[in-house]
Amino acid sequence: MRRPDIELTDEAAAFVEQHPDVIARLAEQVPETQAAESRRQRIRGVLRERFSAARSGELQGAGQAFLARYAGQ
Amino acid sequence: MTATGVVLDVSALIIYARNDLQALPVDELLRVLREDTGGTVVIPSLSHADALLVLDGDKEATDRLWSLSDAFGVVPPSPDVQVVVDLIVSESEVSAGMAHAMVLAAQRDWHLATYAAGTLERVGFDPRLVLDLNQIFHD
Repeated sequence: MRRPDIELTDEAAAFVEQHPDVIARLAEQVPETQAAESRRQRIRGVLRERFSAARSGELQGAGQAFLARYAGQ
Repeated sequence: MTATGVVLDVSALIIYARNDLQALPVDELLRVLREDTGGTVVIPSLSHADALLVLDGDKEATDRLWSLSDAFGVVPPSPDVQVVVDLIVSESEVSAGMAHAMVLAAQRDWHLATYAAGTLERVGFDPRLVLDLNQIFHD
């Protein structure tokens, strides 16, 4: 197994030595975690874009036509 | 600058409460509102009631929904809003919860967060107000 690129405490280094299976499982999860985070970031980007449009007043009056259909009935 | 807010419809409440992968956009929506924009989160009481009916028996999901509504509160329909909700329900055959969410979003020109954008399109709700969480999830 490749040595980690970080300096480990003696206790952590001993854990790595004694539990290669745990370290391997954690390593397998890294791409999955990265993919989920990347997806979260993309979603946040889309939402921020939509809110930016809303704050600039682009949505002003958008709901009125819908409500007007039911007004005075 | 205009104040922003987001209304959560029945579908958004249910998916959030079930907390599976599809709930990611709701989680991120709440996070962006909390961290970036400070916008208001609106939970219509009729949507909340509809969601609780659907989640009946799922204690974990129900608890999660109650936590959300405890955090943000629920907005009951005023008598005027109730009249419009009843009209929408009778004319468009949508649930009272969906109609309540549409009215609250339309009144303030706020986004309506939903996984049921097709229903909103069918009843002529302005697509500019629709935050299609299903599309955001799959894109």
